[in-house]
Amino acid sequence: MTRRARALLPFALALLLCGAVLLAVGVDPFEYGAVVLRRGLFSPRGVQESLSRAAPLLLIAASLMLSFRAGLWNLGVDGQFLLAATVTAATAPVLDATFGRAAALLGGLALAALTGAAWAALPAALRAWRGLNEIVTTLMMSFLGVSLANTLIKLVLRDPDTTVPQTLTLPVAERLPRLFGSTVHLGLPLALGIVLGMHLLLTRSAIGLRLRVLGESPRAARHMGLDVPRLTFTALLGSGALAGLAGGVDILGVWGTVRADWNPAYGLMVVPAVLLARLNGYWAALVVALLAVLSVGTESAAVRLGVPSYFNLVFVAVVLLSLGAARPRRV
Amino acid sequence: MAGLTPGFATQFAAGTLTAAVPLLLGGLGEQISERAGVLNVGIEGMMLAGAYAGFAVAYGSGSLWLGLMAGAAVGVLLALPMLLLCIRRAADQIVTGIALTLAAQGLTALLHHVSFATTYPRLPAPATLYGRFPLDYMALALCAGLAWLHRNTLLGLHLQAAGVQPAALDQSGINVARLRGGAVLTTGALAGLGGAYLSEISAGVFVPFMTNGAGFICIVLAMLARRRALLVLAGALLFGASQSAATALQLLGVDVPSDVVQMLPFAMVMVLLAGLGAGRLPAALGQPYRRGGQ
Amino acid sequence: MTGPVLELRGVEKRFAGVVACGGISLALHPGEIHALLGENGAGKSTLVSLLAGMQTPDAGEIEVGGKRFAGLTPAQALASGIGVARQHPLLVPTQTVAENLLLGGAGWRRPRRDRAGEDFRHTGDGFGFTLSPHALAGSLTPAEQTQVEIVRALWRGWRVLVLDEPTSALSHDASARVLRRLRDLRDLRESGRGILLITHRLDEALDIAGRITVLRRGVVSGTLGPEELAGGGRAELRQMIRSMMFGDTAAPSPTPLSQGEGAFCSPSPCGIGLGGGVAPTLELAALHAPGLHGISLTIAPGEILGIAGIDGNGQTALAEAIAGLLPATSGSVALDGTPVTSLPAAARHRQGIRYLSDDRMHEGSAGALPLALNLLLKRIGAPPFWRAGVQQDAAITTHAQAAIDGFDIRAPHPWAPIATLSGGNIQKALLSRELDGAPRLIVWHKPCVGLDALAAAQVQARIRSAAVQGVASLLISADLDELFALAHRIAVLDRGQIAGVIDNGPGARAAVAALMTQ
Repeated sequence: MTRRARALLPFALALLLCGAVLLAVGVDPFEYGAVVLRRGLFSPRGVQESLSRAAPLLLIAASLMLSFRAGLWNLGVDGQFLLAATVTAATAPVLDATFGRAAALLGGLALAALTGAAWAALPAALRAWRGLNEIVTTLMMSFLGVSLANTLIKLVLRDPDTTVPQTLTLPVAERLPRLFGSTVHLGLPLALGIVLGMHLLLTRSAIGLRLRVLGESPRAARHMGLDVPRLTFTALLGSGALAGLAGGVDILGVWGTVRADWNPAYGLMVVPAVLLARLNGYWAALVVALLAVLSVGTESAAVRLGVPSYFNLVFVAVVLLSLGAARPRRV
Repeated sequence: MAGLTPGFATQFAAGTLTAAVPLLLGGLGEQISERAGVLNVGIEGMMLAGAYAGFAVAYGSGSLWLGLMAGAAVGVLLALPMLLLCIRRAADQIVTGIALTLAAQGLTALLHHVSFATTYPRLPAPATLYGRFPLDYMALALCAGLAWLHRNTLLGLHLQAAGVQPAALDQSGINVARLRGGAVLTTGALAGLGGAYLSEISAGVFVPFMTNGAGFICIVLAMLARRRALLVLAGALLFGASQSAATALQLLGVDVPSDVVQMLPFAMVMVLLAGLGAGRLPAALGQPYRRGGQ
Repeated sequence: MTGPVLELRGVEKRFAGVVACGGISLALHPGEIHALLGENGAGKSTLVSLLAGMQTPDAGEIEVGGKRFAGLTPAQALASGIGVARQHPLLVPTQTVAENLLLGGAGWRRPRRDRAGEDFRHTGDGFGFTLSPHALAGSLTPAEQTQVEIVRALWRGWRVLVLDEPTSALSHDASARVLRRLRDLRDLRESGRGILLITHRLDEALDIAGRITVLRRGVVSGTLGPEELAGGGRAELRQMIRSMMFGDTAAPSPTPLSQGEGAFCSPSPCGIGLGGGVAPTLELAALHAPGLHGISLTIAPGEILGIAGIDGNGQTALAEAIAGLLPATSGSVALDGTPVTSLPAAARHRQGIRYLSDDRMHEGSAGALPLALNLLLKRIGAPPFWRAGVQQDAAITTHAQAAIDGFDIRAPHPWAPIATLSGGNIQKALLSRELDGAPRLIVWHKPCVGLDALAAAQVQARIRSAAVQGVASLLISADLDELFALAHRIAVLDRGQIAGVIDNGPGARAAVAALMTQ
């Protein structure tokens, strides 16, 4: 078997297994697959939706690349994302009404990044200066952030004119500019630029090399005279800012508002994608694009064929497991 | 507030324990894995799969106990790939754990959709012994037993060594892979049991994604408790109390979103962490071990 | 009972094609201490791993206690009565000494910490060990860890005792006591036991071994039986063994190091005079830091100041305090008369203070990063290698190529990950990094630890030539021979303080030994 064929094996295995599961519950796997592909990739609407979906995922990928490269596990991206999305959704309509669209968009994105960074600041500081494990603290802050976002929406930032608790809504015309008459918004090129820029930053720059030394061995980093606590703090803070930016882009580009109890939990999907891509920005972009197609396609298939969209998680899981079996690796 | 009666206090305490038992079971399981050097991020999926299997079997057979056993068995089943990939093949533990969680989420959502999504059946309230479901007592006894095991048996020392310096344990003639494998399967069983408790006893119903991060809370509890099983109990009670308080307040007619109360334990643990500065993990946590490969 | 207790026949072990043991055969007879000599990389440590069951041989067999094995597991090794004390102890740092000893029994049993502690004290007494069995293993000095390792090897009842460099971390006195005790153990001839002593100290082997096997590049290059050992004179035997260890043609090093042969071997280490009026390059004044309690010393340009002392007496703290990695709590560090006490490490590096770490794999280098970048890790961001923060590959490659040529670094490619290089070549790379630019003072922390004789000689030649060019040196070493061969003066570090400074010369060795054993 050639190397290329072997690389495709996990995907074939995942398709086979998922097909078998579908058959078992009485769904024609070929029809299902066709719907997923058509609605996720091979229809103008589907591909636009997938590209829009890719934007926040790419930014989260950049966030995770930054943190993982420095040897730090920011597992709190979901909380950073949602809190930033909430803050953006609550403020952008106000900014828009007072200062106009540009202020709303730029201010919204800046606030999103700030919120994400702020929510990462405590775990970052505890890790940097107290040596506290960031897996625990970022997870805790993630749960805390999700609950806080819901609390804020229900108690403070609630739009008084709606029955379901949700923030104010940014009118469609005031959201991020659409590209070439499509529904794809400016967030996509922005996010793509940031992922590739992050890749270059990490592999080609002085600051990237400092982060890589830290990720390789904190002892070596200290020996080289690097300011390890400050570097740690910066990396986690930057990671939080990018996760927050992802929230801002998703709100300003697609949703316009955050409803209470909305939590797309992108983090859990993007973490394995970034690890599979071995923290390489190009590969990460590709894997994330695949994820976006899959999640958009299965959401359509859920409506059409009644198979819950979460079924795509099984596909992702089987690919991950079989890749893990074929290619052990460590970060 | 008129509702603050002794009856209310009893109800609150009962609710706390009911919410705490799944976390206690999962946390104790995760603690065993983590002591042995395996970070089991798949516990969220194991609990969820256990919740579905437990509910489905209990509903089909009419026996809660059969359901609980099924939950534990499915937990073990889901732990098997972890054992094969992470211990035999040295695959990345975090990636594998996340994959298992995703698989469990997707599969249970699908299975729920084809089996219970239209009817949403409920299980009857369980028979009790002195006012509690018997498994509650067993979970508390298990906690005490594990507290003793971690401190007062060689197995406890071996688990610790496997998580800190597996080569030292290997050299003393103990099979590290087997010990870690046993730890992972035990975690699966306890997590599955906790999940089954969640759907069968705590809720009486299965809802997709119903664990809602309980597995991650178990990971945090295990990391904070290190080798003290009683600290897992304390943490589980803390989180259980907050969940119980949320429902209790609603019953009292206090108009506070449950999210506010649910933030409390997380905030409390963060304050504790920031104040006490604990949180060192076993040195070899997450590292595969292979003899002779330094 | 006449047969050997342990016999190896044609044992082979390769790592990624590189031969570590190339068909070793040897026999350990009951009641005998059998010394295994060889330079670094001769295959001694691999042999120890094979006997402990931590590696499996590719070919050959091991016969112990009448049973033949193609390869041992740790459990089989223990069951066969092989007790191993490793050179680099494998201890669980979060457990006490007693708990470390207890590892390995049936899981349901209770750990009897008190009884293990008593047994530890009892066994340790014979060796003169005074360590508390309830101390955390992670808090032990290397010497104390060695003590635990030796007691553990004896712990479960042994037939074959394998000791890998048991004295390398111990003080002179402690080593003597251990060797005395081993001699007592050997005398239990009727018990059918044998001791395999791995060492690089020739005199140690000649003192107590009844049989000596010399390894060279993975094969047995010579054996001396009881008759030969009894027959030859000490000097003659030593010469014979040296030629077995290094080959007949290759002298150990251009300026031979004394192998434990009394004092001061090279008459004037650097051949430069130290006039009275020279301003010091480095001056420490009443320097306090965690682990250091009031260090005052000066080093003149071109001078090599040796630091002797048992490991764990503040060597690392001293090196890091000078390099700027460990902040001083009081006192001062001055370079060429200018205080640098408040400067961070990077700034001190720019001013010419260099520090060669004793842990080249985990501290001195970042293993997965390319050699070319590792050579610049203390200057990240500096032109011409980075411009506006962007990495300049051409300049970095040129710089790396110069280092590769100048320091004879054997690497497949300048951009190969540094971890793919051998230990000696990594050390050469790190030497080139610290000598790059205009060094004024270099802290050499155990520069030759773990290197073979040839690589060590090359490193020592570099240290000398740096001194000849006027660089001041602080040489921290556990190897007294190295200190006496290189240093002008030797300071003894004891519990974070300077116990005394001795000028190198006749009688210096005795004076230093006296200070170290005070």
